[in-house]
Amino acid sequence: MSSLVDVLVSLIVVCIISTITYFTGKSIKRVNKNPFASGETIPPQRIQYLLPWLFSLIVFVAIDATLLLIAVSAPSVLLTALACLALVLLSFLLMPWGET
Amino acid sequence: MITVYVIIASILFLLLSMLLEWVDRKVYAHVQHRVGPFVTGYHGILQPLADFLKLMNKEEVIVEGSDEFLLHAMPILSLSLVLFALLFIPITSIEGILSLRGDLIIILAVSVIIHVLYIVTGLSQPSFFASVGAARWGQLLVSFEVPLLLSVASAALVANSITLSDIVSFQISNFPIGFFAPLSLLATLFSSLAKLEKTPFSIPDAETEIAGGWLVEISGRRLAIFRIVTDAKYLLLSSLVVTLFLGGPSGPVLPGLEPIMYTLWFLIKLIIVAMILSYIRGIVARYRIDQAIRLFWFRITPLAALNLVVLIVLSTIGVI
Amino acid sequence: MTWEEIAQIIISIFIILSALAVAETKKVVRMALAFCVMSILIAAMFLILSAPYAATFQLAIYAGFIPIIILVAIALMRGGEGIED
Repeated sequence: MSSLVDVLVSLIVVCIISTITYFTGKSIKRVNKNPFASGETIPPQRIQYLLPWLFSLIVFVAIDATLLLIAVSAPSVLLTALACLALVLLSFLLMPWGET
Repeated sequence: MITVYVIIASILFLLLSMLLEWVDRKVYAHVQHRVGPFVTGYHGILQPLADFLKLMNKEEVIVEGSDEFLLHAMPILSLSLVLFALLFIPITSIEGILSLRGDLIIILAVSVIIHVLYIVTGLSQPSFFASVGAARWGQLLVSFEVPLLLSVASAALVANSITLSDIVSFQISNFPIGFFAPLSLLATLFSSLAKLEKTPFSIPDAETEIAGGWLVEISGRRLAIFRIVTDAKYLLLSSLVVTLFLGGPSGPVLPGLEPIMYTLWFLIKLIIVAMILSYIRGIVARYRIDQAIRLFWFRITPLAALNLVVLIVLSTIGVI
Repeated sequence: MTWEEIAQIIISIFIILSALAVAETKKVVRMALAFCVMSILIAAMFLILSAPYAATFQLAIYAGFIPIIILVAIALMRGGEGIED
């Protein structure tokens, strides 16, 4: 196991290396107007998304916040871990997925 | 002392990721009956380096109204985070250059933060296509993270630890974890394809659909750094698959020559995994975004969850 | 003053500065990024206080998943800028 000083020093060194790599490129800059300027005014448009995708976002949050804890603690407190895993997977099945 | 190791390791990782990009382009070309890069160096092996140097010398064009501070900071932060995550991978021995307790989760968290930085880059340009690309990154990210976490959890369950050095020493004394968790290996390969924007899932950066997505107004040295970050992420994900499921640097060794033999076994397995990923890239066409979401949630997540449940049941009985 | 106490004081100052940036900045995308930076600094504080598991889960959840949810909400509400001459 490496000590905490090693980890912080290596993070700083890596940041310095990437900054030096970025600033060795040329920085001639040109500011353009929007390339699709055509003379007409198009109002801001909303992006399409499907409503069942929002349910998948909820299930994603539940799974990602709990899954590694379940996997790490499973060998010692087995019944509790299995119950939590069953609850999480049940939430995946009970979502009103709809057409998607 | 650690500073010298980190500087040498960063330069070597960048060169190794350029070598992996060359392997990817050659396999992709030969699948399509082409030759690929041929002129620069021996059979085109210096082509990725030539592309990087050419892009660093071009001028950068910024659209009026974009957030310049964020556009300067995002390439620097992405490159430093991916190089930091690569320092934890064990190549020449059981431990990498750095090793903490719980470093498997640190590698996963750092790769998710890199995707956050991609979405921020897409949102800081005033073009409509960049916003669509960033929104599609968000939708795809939510879908492919879940099977990846389920597969990594099955690997951590078999080895009974979340530290990479413990997982590698478990595989050196027993079988590679891929024998216990083949469905997890399959799910990790699919999630890696989506994480790297390779062809069945190259949705956020599609040139024919949304005119380039989140990279539409990025040119010059920023584009060079983002391409290098993609190659380094290719190296990171292939090494993660090799370390978790194929045994890492394990293999028959001669006593006394162990660092060299471990590195050789690691490189052989790494190039096999990289060739599998780019072979799949050459055969298939691109999915739509709702087809990709449906594929991940209804076909790949149940496979990974089934493997995790079977492994939990087997570890209670006492077989594993 | 040992090395750990100096590091705790410096990281606390940066946590307060980034929390002020989250609350006071005018652009929404910079707010999400400042939240991510604040969570990474809190994880570093947990590491100094000898709690490695708390630090890794803080990094995974607060610095990874929550900025994604914030940014996806911003992206779906905004819908891009209008195109005009």
